[in-house]
Amino acid sequence: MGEKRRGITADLSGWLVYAAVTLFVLVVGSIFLTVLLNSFASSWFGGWLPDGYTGKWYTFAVNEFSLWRVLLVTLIVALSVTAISLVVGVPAAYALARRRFRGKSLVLGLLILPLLVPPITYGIPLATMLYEYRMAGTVAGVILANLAPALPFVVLIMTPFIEQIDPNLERAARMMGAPTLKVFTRVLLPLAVPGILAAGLLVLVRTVAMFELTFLTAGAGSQTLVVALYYAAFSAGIRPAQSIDAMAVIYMLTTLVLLIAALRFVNPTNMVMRVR
Amino acid sequence: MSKIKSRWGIDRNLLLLLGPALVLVVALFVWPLLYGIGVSLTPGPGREGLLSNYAAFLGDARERASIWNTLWIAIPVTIANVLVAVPIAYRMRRPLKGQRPISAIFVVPMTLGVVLVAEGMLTFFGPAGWFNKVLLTLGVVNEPLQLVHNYVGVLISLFIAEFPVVFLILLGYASGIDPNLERAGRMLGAGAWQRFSRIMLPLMMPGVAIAAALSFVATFAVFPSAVLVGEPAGATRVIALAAWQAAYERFDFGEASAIAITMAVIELVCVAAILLGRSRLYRGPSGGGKG
Amino acid sequence: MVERTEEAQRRSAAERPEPHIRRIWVKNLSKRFGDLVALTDFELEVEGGEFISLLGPSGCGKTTALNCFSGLLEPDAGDIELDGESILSVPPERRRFGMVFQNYALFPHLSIARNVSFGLEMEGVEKSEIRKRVQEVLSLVHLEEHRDKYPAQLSGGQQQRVALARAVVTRPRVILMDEPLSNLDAKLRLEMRTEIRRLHQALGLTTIYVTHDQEEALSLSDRVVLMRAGTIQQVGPPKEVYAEPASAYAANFLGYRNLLPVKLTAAEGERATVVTQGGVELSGTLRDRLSPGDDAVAAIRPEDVSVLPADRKEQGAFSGTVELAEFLGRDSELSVPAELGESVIVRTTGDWKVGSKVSLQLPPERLFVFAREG
Repeated sequence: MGEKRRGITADLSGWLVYAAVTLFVLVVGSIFLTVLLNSFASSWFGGWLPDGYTGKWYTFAVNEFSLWRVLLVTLIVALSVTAISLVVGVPAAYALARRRFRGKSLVLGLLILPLLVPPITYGIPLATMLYEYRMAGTVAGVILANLAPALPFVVLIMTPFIEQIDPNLERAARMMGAPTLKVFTRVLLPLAVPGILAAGLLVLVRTVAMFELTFLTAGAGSQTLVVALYYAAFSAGIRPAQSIDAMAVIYMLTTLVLLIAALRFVNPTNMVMRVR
Repeated sequence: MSKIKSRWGIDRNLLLLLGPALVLVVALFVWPLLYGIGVSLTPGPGREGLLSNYAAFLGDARERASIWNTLWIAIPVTIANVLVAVPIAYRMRRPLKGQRPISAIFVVPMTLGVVLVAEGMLTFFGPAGWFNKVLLTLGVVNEPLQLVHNYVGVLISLFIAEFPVVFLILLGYASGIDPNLERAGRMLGAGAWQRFSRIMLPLMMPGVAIAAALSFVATFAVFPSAVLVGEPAGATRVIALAAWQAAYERFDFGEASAIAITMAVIELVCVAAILLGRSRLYRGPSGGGKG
Repeated sequence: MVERTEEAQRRSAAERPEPHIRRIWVKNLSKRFGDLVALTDFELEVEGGEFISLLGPSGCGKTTALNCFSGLLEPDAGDIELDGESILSVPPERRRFGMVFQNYALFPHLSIARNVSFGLEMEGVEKSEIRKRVQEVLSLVHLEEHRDKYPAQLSGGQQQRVALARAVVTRPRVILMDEPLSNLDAKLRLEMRTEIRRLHQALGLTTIYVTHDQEEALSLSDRVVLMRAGTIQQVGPPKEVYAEPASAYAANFLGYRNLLPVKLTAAEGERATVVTQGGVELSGTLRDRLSPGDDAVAAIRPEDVSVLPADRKEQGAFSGTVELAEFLGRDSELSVPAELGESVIVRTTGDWKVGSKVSLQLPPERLFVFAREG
């Protein structure tokens, strides 16, 4: 709508916004660009650009950091965590969205709490407990650890989403004689799919980037990309920076592929839900 | 199939729906948490008394300093996030050209996570990196600025990683406010600043509180960037690091748990303060019309 | 003209707002949104104190016109003059117009009293004066005891009254209302209509009111402006617009629910003879320039059709059978397929059963013949 604005002030604030956004994008983009360039650099001794280019660091990184296995572990962990948290979380969200019962606030609080408590606080004892169950350092252990914040996340996103699906639709289906299971699969699920997709992709991306819990529970053979990257960066003195950056690029690509898939289905502003 | 509803409104269906989730949360979170509390109350090697682990932590000046180090990082970053995000989200509340690509761009650093940002910063913000090169070429500074391996580095990395979340939440809130409210304000004589301060900002406050709380939670728990781009032995020795070192360098799990519990308590107190603060400033929905 | 009661006159002397305007002149306002032409050459003169309704269906441009008056929308062409001075370049925050929105737009974070005082605070009015005026206007709309509540705690009708109070308390030069009653249920709508009329009589503020409800427009206004597709179709006092619509469109909108497609066969002065598609001849009053052979529309109100039992058939009456009968309390509305070839909708007193045979008369002076539009 061609609303009348107060001339210069409005334009100024608009330009400032674009300026701020541009600055942010430039800085962040440049960070990634540096990483990218460095990963292809044969060497880079403080000039504006690398001294030469090569692809050898990628082969080096893949071997040195066992990246194929790390990538596999990352995908297994992320996909398992996503699947389990959706299967368990969506019904829970449905119950919270539709049903009233004594102690509901308590249950809701309990389910959200893991997102508010620092991962270290429950991560260290969780790691100890996994060790006692002989699951320390296993992929299964890493999956369990990452489930702790993933499940609440799904519940947090899906509950308001289901709330805003008109309950009359389910009632109408029931009145037309549909048994509960059919109501779920034929009425509710199709309507919930956009939310489920959003939640699922968010959890997937989040788990790939989740550091602390995997750091505490993973062993040599069950590290995810982000943890391997950390260890590599930590050992920067020993290994060439270019190979670390090669790994970083691979990590970026993995996440970006997932992100692009996410943005095809979801509007970014919807990805951040309103918690009331 | 008949549902037996007890006075509590609980029935078999409800248990089926909620049960697995509750079981998982209890097993993977509540129990470890309680276990951790238990360990923290078990006197460590050479100590006596229920709270001896806490005393050991809080009694040591260097250990205690980790609390202030962390707060000194989390609070400024959270405040900066909010102060920068509010005007931008406000200005972008009406669909701006390119809003979707802009939002998409913001989502990228958020998803890539803090480790990648930290790693990238080492090169970009390093003494020989592009950022300093630009500043030197422009003559803004005479010497490269020290932006990594210190406090500033951690601030920057956290800002980059957390600003997008804060911004997207606030954008959601700002664009969800009924545009007629602003029009009504204009018709009643409110100028641009008055419309912002008297109408829009109060209505955005719930979003500000939530975004600030989330940002604080993430920044208070900072760990990898404090190590990679910070001074883990000095100014950026954060609580998470102190806990980790106690557990895996000194194998003093008692103290490690005490530190971890203290960390959680401080964090929850701060979050409660933020959320309670906002409910005293504003109440009611942002709809502005008939329910 | 608006009749003033003594009380209203007494009140208005004490409360007469400062700029009591003499005249608004809207000149040739035009606005388009991309390819869509919302408003074309909108021209209107409003006298100070008048209650004007912009009436029309959705998309006719009435809300666009209102938004141009308020200053929230900038027209592509034209001007708005208030007492001789152009206000087109004055932004809404300085125009000193009041506005009531369709969804009330009450500030949810402020109490009722603070909502109402908002405009006064923006003006910088002194605190004690604010308190006094807020109290006055709240008692005017009978909401004093709710002053400390919040909008969410009030019902729709109450919220609407707060919106009114908020708009009038600043003694604006003009009040603009954008379909303020359409979100209310039928009973409330009637009550609020009375309320608005009462307020207008008490305060005498120049009002421009947008609605799609012809009953509202007719009952509230001094003059009705009927709009269609961005242009003004007819302007006049309610009685005139009601009794003498100027076009088939106006007739249709104003309740002439019988619109018979006909052909003009003869015209003598105002008298027209037309023939229906079924071949039946009718006499009516010519309202448009037409020549014999032209396609036309014959329009008559359901209330103007006279109904008699079939055995009382008279000269020029048509017979038919009642197909549908809707009981409306005092009246009934009947649908009667008649010899005319069309179903005629009739509103009349009395008890009529489905299936009864009746005889209908369409008085020529109430049957208007208009040009037919594509």
